[in-house]
Amino acid sequence: MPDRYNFALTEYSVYEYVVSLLKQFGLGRGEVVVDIGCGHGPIAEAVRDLGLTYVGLDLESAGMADLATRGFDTAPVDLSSPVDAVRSIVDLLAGRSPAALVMIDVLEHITNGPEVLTSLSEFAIGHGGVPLVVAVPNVTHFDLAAKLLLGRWDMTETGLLDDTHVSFFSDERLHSMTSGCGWVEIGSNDFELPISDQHFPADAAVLQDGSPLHDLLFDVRDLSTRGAIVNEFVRAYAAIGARAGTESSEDTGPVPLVSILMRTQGKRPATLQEALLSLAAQTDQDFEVLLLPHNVPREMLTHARYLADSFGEDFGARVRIIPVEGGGRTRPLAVGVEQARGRYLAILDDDDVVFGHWIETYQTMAAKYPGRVLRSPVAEQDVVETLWSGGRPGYEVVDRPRCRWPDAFDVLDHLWENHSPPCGWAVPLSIFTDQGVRFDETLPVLEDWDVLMQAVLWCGVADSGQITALWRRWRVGESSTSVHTENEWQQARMAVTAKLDAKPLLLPARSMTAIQAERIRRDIYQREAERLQTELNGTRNHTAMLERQLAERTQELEAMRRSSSWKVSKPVRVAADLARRATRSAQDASAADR
Amino acid sequence: MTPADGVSDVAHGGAGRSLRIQTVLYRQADGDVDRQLRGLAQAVRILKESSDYHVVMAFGDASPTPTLSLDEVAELDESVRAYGIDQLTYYYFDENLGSARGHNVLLTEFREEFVLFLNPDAYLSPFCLTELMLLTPDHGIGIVEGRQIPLEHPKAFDRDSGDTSWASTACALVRSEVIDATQGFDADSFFLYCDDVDFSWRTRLAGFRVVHQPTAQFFHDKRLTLDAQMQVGDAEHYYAAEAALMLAWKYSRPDLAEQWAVDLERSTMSLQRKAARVFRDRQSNATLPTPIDPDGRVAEFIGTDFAEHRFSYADA
Repeated sequence: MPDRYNFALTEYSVYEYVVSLLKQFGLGRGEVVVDIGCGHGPIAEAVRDLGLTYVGLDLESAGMADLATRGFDTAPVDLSSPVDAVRSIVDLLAGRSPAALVMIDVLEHITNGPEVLTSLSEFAIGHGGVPLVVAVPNVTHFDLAAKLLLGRWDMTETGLLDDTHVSFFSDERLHSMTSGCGWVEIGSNDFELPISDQHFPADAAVLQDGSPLHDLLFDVRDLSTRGAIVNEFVRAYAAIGARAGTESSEDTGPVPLVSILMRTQGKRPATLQEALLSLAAQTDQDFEVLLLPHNVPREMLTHARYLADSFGEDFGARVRIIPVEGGGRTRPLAVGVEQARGRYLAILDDDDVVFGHWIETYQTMAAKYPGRVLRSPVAEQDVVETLWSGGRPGYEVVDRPRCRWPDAFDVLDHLWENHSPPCGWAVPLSIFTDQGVRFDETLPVLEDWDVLMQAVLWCGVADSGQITALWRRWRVGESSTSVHTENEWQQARMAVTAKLDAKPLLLPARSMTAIQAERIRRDIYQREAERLQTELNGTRNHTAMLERQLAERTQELEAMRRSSSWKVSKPVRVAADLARRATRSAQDASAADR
Repeated sequence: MTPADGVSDVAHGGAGRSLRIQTVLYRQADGDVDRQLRGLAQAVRILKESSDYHVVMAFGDASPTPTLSLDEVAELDESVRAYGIDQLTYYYFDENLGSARGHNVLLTEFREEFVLFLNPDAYLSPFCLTELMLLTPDHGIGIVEGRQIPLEHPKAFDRDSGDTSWASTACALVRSEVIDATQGFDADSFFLYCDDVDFSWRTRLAGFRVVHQPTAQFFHDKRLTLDAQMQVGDAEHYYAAEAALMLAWKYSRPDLAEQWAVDLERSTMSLQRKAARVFRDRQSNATLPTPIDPDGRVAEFIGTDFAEHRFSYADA
């Protein structure tokens, strides 16, 4: 290799991270650390300091010559022939036992990585399960992702985009390749650089911490898969036997449109049965059900299995029962989402019920608006707990269905409070698998609103304009409203809004119009309030003036009553009063005669 | 394949227990029949786990064109046998008979102990038949009605006994003696709606009880408008109005029939005015049904409802 790779082990370098993993997994196994593609062997002395023997192999001679002058054994190796490469390792070991294999910045320089890894796995198994430590640059570092959005792909002499790289790695690809070649990850010590060698041009908003654009994009990258600021993945592996010398792929069985998470506490067998009935009766059966019994006794699980299977073999096969222990009401959702396989994720609790076109509507919308949050208005109906014949626990409907939630989704309204019960929406599973959204188990309530808002801000919403579900409100009987205190609701609301407030908001097109309309409305109300205030002030002033005048007149009257002339004229006033009364009586008598 | 019109008077039942299930189809969407059979098959399977039943499924098709081909019928017959439906029959009526006459035509082949009337958009819970049958040891009970979800019927019922004014034949289990006593539905008076109210009331006049079984659930594919009102088609606007007039007349409430006819004549909906005209025509032609239940023993007219309701789907 050219001298541009003559790096030294310094504090906070990838080599230090490799040595740290070696200390963890390479000690006590053998005597020799085999550095494949060793270059100048920057870790050689550190390995020796661990009490191990260092040997290096490389195709280029310059680095090995340097190592030889420092007293380390070396040998040439050509990785284009993995079998020969392993033979070179065996020869160099000369009967000594290997403690670990190391490949620092090698895999990105070769095109036959899977074959090399497979051969090394077989070698490792033949030598007591010797571990492998790999370091490889991360092509999904945020700096590279952000710069791609600027249309930039800046190759450099060394670093993340070294112009000699022929293979590129993400966390997922590294995992896929190693696991497909007989290795299982046993440790990681990734080398992080928040500001990588690709952090240029420095003034680009996408790269500047604190700019809304950077913070938003970084959030997207950081929540998705690990490694947003990882410069090199540094991982340790144990050999478990090669399979095919290829990268592994995920199970590609049929994927249902919707994975339905159904929480149950086993307290309402009647409504659980009805919820399942409403699913079995769907016009479109493209779904799976993850039934999530939460903190229920074992016998309830047996009953749940029997219940699901009662709806038929095909339906039963699409109901997976996943018992959940501990945690609050969010725990089952958090557990369920990890096992969901559908394109979309929906929530249907065991006391809700759906109309016959619930899934069919999602199917139509998903075809028309792929990747959006699919949303339908929901009707609610009041119910009370009751006992049915034979004393079986049941319920009774006490009112007609009503729809108090808006037909169309309004993101600004939803920032204030939730207007979309969970049985009325489905979110792309991708927000969990690709974008790192999670059900927040710290929330005792409003966990659905929290996920919905994270999803809609990124995915947007498609409205069906049809009521497809019926949400039961328990007027008598336990519900989240009755179980949780007002304080818990308030705290949860603050927590959800605080999370939204902590990052830039991505609002859909035409939000400006909506915000302006709100602003105009506010201005109108404010002007009206000011006008009313002015009017009120005027009225108050006028009232005060009248009160002052009244007080003055009262004082004058009192003064007059206390005066001597008033007292002297009293007999005259009495006589006049009597005369007035006599005249009135005479008039009344005359009127009566008529 | 159309059996002779009219209701058979042959003796019912045999050594084992037997059940006939009847559905009248009309312009069903693709997949509706399969969907119904999917639910029905499981309900029959579970029913047969508890007792030996001979089960016959009969479809009558009043659609303009056949819903099922003969091959499809044969295929369905074969597939449902695995779940215990011993026979599946399909009759294409080749005319729109309405539900009352359609069921009557199918009843001409009724030989079983019980008949289940089922709407084509009804999907049975796997336990529905078993729960309906739970009440049949009481021979005083003539009809057992299932409970429909997601939109429950608002009709009141006695929480202890289950007694109710009438049973919806969207899903109702009927004892053969009731068919013998009533001769089925009054298809001359009722085409599509209130045929079940009339059938229930005549059942009660014949001395049987009509009960609601809340644990016998079935999914009735009703839907809501955006203002949470029940979606209603043109047919319901017309036939429900016509049937209400017939019901009031038949159950000796000419005063109500007259009042409703006048109201319908003033309606802004042409279909409702048409219903009033048809009633007037039959009044003139003396073809209205002969009034029964003069003392109001069974008939209930509460507002525009035919039973006390626990709540109303209409806006207050």
